[in-house]
Amino acid sequence: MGIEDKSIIVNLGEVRVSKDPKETLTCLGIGSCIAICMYDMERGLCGMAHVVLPESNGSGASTKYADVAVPQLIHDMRHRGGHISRLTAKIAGGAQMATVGGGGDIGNKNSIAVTENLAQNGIKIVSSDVGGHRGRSVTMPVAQCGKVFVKTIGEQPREL
Amino acid sequence: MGSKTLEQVELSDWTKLVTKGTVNAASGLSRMLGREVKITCFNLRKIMASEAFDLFGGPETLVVGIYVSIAEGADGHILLVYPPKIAYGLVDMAMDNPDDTTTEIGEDEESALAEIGNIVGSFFLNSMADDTGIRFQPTPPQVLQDMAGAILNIALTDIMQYADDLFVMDTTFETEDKKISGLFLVLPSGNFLDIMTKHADEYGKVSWE
Repeated sequence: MGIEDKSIIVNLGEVRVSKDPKETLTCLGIGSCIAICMYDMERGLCGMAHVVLPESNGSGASTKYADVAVPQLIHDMRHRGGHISRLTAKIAGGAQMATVGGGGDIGNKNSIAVTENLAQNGIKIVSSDVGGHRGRSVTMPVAQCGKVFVKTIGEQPREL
Repeated sequence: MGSKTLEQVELSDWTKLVTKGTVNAASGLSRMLGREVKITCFNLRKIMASEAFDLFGGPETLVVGIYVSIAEGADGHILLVYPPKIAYGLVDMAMDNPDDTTTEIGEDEESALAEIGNIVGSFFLNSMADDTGIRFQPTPPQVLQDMAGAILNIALTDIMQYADDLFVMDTTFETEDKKISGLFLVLPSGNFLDIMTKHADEYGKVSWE
């Protein structure tokens, strides 16, 4: 990033969309969560959702849930000029950080829920980095619309 | 009726419960190490889940976490989180090493930290079992070195099904000649709080003293 570039942190359960080439959408230190990175290259439009849980089960409209975050992200992308036929997604996260304890592999459940919800809305996933047991940071520079970078502890960022 | 949130359980009762649990955990650690260990808890506070990472210098900061899940009796999480250098100090304390001996977390160091998690988790839960008559069973401890956000994710995904905020408190592990400061997070799930509230309702105030 250049000196004037701005990192937009997408916190737990948030959805952010940007067309500003000085901005970089960022999910930092995600474990079982999923960063959904969506873009419309023709419009130079990028969006990111930080999904925490797979299903809302009617418990509210929070975008921390995959089944709420996906439609919201699509809505926000279209509202900013994105066209549904051009929207494309890359996803990262869904790690199983703890191998002890109940609750099952929430990271895997998140991955499945995000993949299914994107498919149901006709959005193609062109690249993904999910699962494993390591935390990730995910960045999406708007100036390089379509490019997504994933970083783990002790490693250089790699393009997704 | 949905599960309780921590806000609905009296904060003062929760503070007493956690304090009593950590005093019991300190007695377990003292036995393990063969010398007196004091655990001091202070500054219990409510924070937004999304702000929890700031406690560690941000979600991308490398930390060492000792994680114990509550497997039986109720759902919940116990998490001890330290910057690496502080975790090394804890290892030195556990292994009775001279200061600054530990410089990385290998197999032996991981085992020492896991044992601390085991003792703290078991004695903490035993204390709560004494008060409630309910047997809480901890899982084996897991030691993790990773981004703070990713480690906290373990508990937050569970907690965030019920609430968007959580309670944390600072802790200090202290022996005669060493003092190790870190964060001790006891993150109760909804059904854990239901049990605690039900117990208080049925039997009067829990005698935390």
